[in-house]
Amino acid sequence: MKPAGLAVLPPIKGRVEGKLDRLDLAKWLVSADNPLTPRVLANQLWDKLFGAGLVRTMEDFGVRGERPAHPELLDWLGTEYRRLGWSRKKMIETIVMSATYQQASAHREELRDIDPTNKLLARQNRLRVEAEIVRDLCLSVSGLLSDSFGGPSVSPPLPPGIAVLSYDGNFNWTPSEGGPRYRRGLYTFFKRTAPHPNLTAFDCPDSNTTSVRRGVSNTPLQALTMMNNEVFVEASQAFAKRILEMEAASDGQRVREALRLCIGREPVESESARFIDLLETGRTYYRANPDSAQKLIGKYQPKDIAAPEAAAWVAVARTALNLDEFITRE
Amino acid sequence: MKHRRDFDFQAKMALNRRSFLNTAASGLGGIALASLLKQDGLLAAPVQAPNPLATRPPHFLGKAKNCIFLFMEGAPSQLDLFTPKPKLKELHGQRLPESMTKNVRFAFIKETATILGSNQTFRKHGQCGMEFSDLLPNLATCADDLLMIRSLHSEQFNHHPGQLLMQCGRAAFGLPTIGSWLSYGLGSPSQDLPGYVVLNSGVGSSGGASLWQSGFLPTTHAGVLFRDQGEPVLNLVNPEGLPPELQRASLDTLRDVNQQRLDVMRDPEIASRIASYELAYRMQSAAPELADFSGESKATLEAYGIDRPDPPVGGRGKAKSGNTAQGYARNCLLARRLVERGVRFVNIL
Repeated sequence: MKPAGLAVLPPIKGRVEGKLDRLDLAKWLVSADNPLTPRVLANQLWDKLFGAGLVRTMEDFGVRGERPAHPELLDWLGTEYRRLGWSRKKMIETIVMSATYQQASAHREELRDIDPTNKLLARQNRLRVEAEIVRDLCLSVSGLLSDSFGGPSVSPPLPPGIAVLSYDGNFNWTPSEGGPRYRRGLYTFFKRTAPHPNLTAFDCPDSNTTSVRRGVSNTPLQALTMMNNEVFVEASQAFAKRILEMEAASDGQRVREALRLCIGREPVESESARFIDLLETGRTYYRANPDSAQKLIGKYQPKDIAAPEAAAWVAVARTALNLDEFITRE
Repeated sequence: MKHRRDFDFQAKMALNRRSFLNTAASGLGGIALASLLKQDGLLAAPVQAPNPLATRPPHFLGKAKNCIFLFMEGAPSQLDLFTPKPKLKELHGQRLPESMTKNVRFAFIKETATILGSNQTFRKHGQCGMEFSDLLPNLATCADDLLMIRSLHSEQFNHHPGQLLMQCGRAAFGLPTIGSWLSYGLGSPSQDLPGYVVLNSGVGSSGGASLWQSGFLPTTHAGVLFRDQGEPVLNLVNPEGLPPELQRASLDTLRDVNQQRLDVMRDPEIASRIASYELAYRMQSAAPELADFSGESKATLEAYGIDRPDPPVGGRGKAKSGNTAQGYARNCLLARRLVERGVRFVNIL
């Protein structure tokens, strides 16, 4: 057997006559007459931005894969990608500046029979954010997120009993302190035999095999993680402190501002009202149980605010961070 | 290859979101199995949220309803426990013949290796005459109730690949584990607990989490790790200082506000999320009850050896994190309780 390319694609040219090596393969991948590479890459970006590629079988552009919904668009994206000098940033910019991308994602009744799976993209799709970003969002809204860039991986808190699962208990996880503790999820050290449950709960691939598409599950373990895991509880505490230290003339205004920070839009009256109810429920409880209040606040004590009041807002903050809309790109 | 978002499912579900919520007590929905569930009449009648863990009838009705897998990695060799090898005993102390070592890859065996036969005594037991070594006197008394499969063999010579072979059928990553297949194929009767539970004993295994992954099946079929100490399930317990009534009030708020968004966006994933939070709430009540053995009879506790003093353990087995016989006994009783409550498959690692 000699090295060669796929017969359906233009042949690989060797730098040396009669010999083909990996550099020849690399050059062929990005050569001007190879249409496959840029289309596949553009399709992957499309998937990230729309929830499905133009070719839905992202890992298979062959005869057993699906046909593209918009073939000319895919071809154009492919040529454009090369024309932009293979810049991911410019490619993403091109896509998100399009009218197609900027459509609303509400389901449209009239499309139900015509295009039930939204292949033709007459609307956008609602996408739950990826695993790493779930925590990033909570840290961002609470003001804890570290913006440090690059460098070695870090170790956010890992629940007990996880590290010990790996290699007969010989794997040690030392939680990072300070800024590194709050770096973006993409910097979390990934141990395949003891992956971080906060990531795997939200469909982070286990890294044992290449994953081109992530699943998007919706499970009670996710609910429990976001409500009770220490990372998210801490974010709730810090978020409550942030909310209380804002200028606000009323509870209503404060609630609206908190929700606006989470969901990126003005909440409607009936939404804010439910949170104000929750706030009142919390206040009633914590005025009668100040010790519990102190426990719930943790080390995030807002200035000049009594513990019961602060605790009621932690309950509100925690609930806001658990809204479906908060972890969804609409 | 991971499953993708199932837009076919979303399309069907978008139709009848109100009944979705009213009837979906336990639906987890929104996961790419709808096309396989093939629920007829989905378009017409009030919709039951497709629950990917819902039980479905198998092709052949069997008697077994649940499975508890005691995967005792690191146990003594079957040559000392189950499988008498008279020829091996005969050749004890001799060098391996060249026919066996030529062109064969071994991890640790050197060319100068000699054959090691077991010095355990094997006897036949029960009416069926099943053979056990004298190291298993109690198990031997169950000979007539057991099915011994002696044809299982492995070509792996190291821990992790061997574990993957046993859990996935091939010594390779990316495949579903046994519990995932059962969950996928048969669903699970329990409404409050996952269908595939993993209990970890002692120092764990080399394979760790790769031994209960769902591989290319949807992640809803991955094993859920339960613990016999502390929180039964990770993140089960509300933060300190948050009482149950405030948890319920928070969930009510979530449900109502999520529902309002559902009315606007009509995305069935929102309904799934509402259902997931309700199931999480039910797990919060159901799971602690699991680990509470106070209702079990003294006879049961003794039979499982819950309070039996630990035998002395040496070497790597020594307690790194509770590697005790009591810990294992607790896991066995927990497994039984899980199965009694409708969990389809429990793996005790």
